[in-house]
Amino acid sequence: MTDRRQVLLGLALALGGPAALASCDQAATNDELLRSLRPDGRLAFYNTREYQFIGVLADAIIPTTDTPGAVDAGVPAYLDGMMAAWASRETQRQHKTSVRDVRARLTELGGRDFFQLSDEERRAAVAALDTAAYETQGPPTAASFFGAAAGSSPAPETPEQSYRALKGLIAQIYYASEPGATVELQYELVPGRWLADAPLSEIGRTWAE
Amino acid sequence: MADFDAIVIGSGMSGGWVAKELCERGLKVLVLERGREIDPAVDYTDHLAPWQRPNLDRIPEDEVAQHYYVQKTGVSYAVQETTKQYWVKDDEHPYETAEGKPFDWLRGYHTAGKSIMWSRQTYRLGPQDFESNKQDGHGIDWPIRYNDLRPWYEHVERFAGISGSRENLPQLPDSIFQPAFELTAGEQVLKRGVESAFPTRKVISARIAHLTAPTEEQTALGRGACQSRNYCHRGCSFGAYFSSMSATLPAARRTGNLTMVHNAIVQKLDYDPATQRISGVRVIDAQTKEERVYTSNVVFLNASTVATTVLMLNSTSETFPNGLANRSGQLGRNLVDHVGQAVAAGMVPGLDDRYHAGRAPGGIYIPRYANITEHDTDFVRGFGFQGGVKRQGWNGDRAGIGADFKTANRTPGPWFAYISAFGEMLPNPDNRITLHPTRRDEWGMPVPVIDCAFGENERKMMQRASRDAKAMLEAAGIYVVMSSESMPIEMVMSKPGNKIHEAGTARMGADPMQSVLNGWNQAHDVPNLFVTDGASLPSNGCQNPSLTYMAISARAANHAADLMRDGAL
Ligand SMILES: Cc1cc2nc3c(=O)[nH]c(=O)nc-3n(C[C@H](O)[C@H](O)[C@H](O)COP(=O)(O)OP(=O)(O)OC[C@H]3O[C@@H](n4cnc5c(N)ncnc54)[C@H](O)[C@@H]3O)c2cc1C
Repeated sequence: MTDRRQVLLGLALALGGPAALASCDQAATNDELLRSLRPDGRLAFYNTREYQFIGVLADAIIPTTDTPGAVDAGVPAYLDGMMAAWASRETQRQHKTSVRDVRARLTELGGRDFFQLSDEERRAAVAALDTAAYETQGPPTAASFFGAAAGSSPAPETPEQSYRALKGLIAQIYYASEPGATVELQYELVPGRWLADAPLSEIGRTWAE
Repeated sequence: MADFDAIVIGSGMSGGWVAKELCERGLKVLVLERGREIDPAVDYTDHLAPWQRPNLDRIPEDEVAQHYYVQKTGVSYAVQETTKQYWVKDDEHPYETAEGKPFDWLRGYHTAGKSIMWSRQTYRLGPQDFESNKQDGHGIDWPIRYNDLRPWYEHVERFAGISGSRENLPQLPDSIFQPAFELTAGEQVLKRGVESAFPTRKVISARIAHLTAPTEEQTALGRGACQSRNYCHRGCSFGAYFSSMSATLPAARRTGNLTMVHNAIVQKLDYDPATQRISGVRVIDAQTKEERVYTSNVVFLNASTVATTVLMLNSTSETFPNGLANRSGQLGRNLVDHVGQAVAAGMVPGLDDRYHAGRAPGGIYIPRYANITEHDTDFVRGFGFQGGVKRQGWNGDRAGIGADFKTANRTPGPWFAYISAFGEMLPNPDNRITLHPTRRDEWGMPVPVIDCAFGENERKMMQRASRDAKAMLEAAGIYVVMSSESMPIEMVMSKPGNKIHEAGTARMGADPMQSVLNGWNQAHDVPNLFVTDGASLPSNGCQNPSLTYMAISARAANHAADLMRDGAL
């Protein structure tokens, strides 16, 4: 996985320069993204198309900006491995159904097969689905909070619910990844102190954990 | 000649204390532990960053269904991919429950028992807790009072290390404290709101068994200060929270008097009617199934309440056909846990410019006020609340995508407040552990049958706690998003066992016809047998009980050592 995007990103990260990364984002075209999502036959759970779909979706939700995005953080590969190793057959089946339903809904919203849309059009379709998903379902509830904490939630019934579940998984993996936790947010393995009450401005960003 | 001065069965929270005290008194001690040996270098997973934990730390679903169906549903927060090594496989360690009466038996078999996995909340019982049975007539009177245990609370606290704040509350006496974990901005809001709306209530910093200012004695054992990681359920490489692993077993070992044998499942204690004493401890090796007998002058049972009871019930003889030291018929009866699940949760408005750093391993505690400072109740005894108010982090389930989504998550989420009740359960002889007449486990041990249910008093208590929880959050200006108040009461009640504070089944008492043990945790009818885990308590208060198990274990061990010194054992 060493296309130009990866090399640029690696270099930018090595230099530690968020400014350098911004240009990397512009350089990424649709095709490059798909190329970077070529699994080289090492998929454990998804077929290539599903894998690429997850990658494109993850990229729309958490793109590369001045910090790494979901694809840079390896979210698609992590999810592929996790669905193979963690999920039961029933969860695997549900998950594949969710992926299919979300893709079908995005195709509907985009007017053409999701993969044939331009970068721009894809983002617009995902944005439209996102808006619909939160309009129809209301804001997150304490129940969804507790459900997520327990690692279990009821099977999604609509494409909007499926989308929210996928989005939640993508975010969880991203913010647990090293770039997500330490570059996008901040993380301390060994804080060494408890600061109970301090100005947010002194602490800066959200803690990843 | 006996093999040892003393045998301690179980190396967990209570057994670790007995071993330490007896070894320090110069006695040769054998600890028999049914589980495997924990090696911190291999088993502790507290050094893993989020990206190093497999599958978001989730145990594969099929594995849960096959091995952890009770443990995982019972304590989902503590049973993860990186902690599953600390939990029994349910299919290998079966038990039964009475029809329609579920009971969670949550446990781990290994060095240090549940002291590795506990949540470290540490509270003394108050004077009222030793008198409540006598006052309201449920259960039998305690043979000891608060003042009998007070010096032993001090003794174990000094060694274990408890962080907390001095509050001078009669019902929740202060421990010997190391500095408390301070309250967050949100917790301060809750404290101010609750204490001004309800002057009879207090919101205090949780008291937890964490070192915040380690003493020389503690550092000499290799223990260090808490690093505020809050990865405690994975084991602590700093030895910062109290466990048998970090504290009591190393102290016992350094005396040179400790022998510890793992994979040693005690099945039966042999009783010799001629001497009226335990003459041998029968063990089966967990791996080889080889059987052995060890002998000692005195035996301490610390296998944790249910397992201790099973062992005693299984130790029948001509003298004790219904279980060891069971002349009273009370062995296995009066099983209690705590009742819980009355909760309220919500968002604290404002405080957008405040945050916290580090991960505190505790939150807040609301000490019992029902039937202490407030008497308008339709139940006896009472409940306390555990909880916390921290700022939520990122939120994957928020509207928006792209750069906006990322940017929004760089600002921490709302302040999330929750409180959750722990109520006392009344002793009731019908709540009972018996042995299955035919079913045995892989090692030939009869499988326990647990018949236990909450009663009307616990239901009324949880109704009240649900109302109070919501009212307290609201009094602090917190926007309540979830409350058990509107739920049918059966949904509010936790499963018995789920609070993991089981106790009562070999209670102490003054009258040998009504109790199994005397006021020194010594069997009335078998002088060289002591039981110092939760089984020995005539009632359980509403406080997390481990500190009391520690104190009562240290007290009994020293009493036994005194008796041996005086030639009375
Ligand atoms: C997730 C969790 C959170 C908790 N949080 C708190 C809390 O915040 N505060 C609190 O006060 N308490 C808490 N507890 C409860 C606390 O862990 C127990 O009260 C305490 O560990 C009981 O001590 P024990 O010695 O009786 O049993 P254990 O600590 O369980 O030790 C018993 C030992 O005996 C061994 N054993 C069992 N049977 C045999 C046999 N036949 N032969 C030989 N060995 C045997 C076991 O393997 C085990 O090592 C919590 C428990 C859990 C699981």
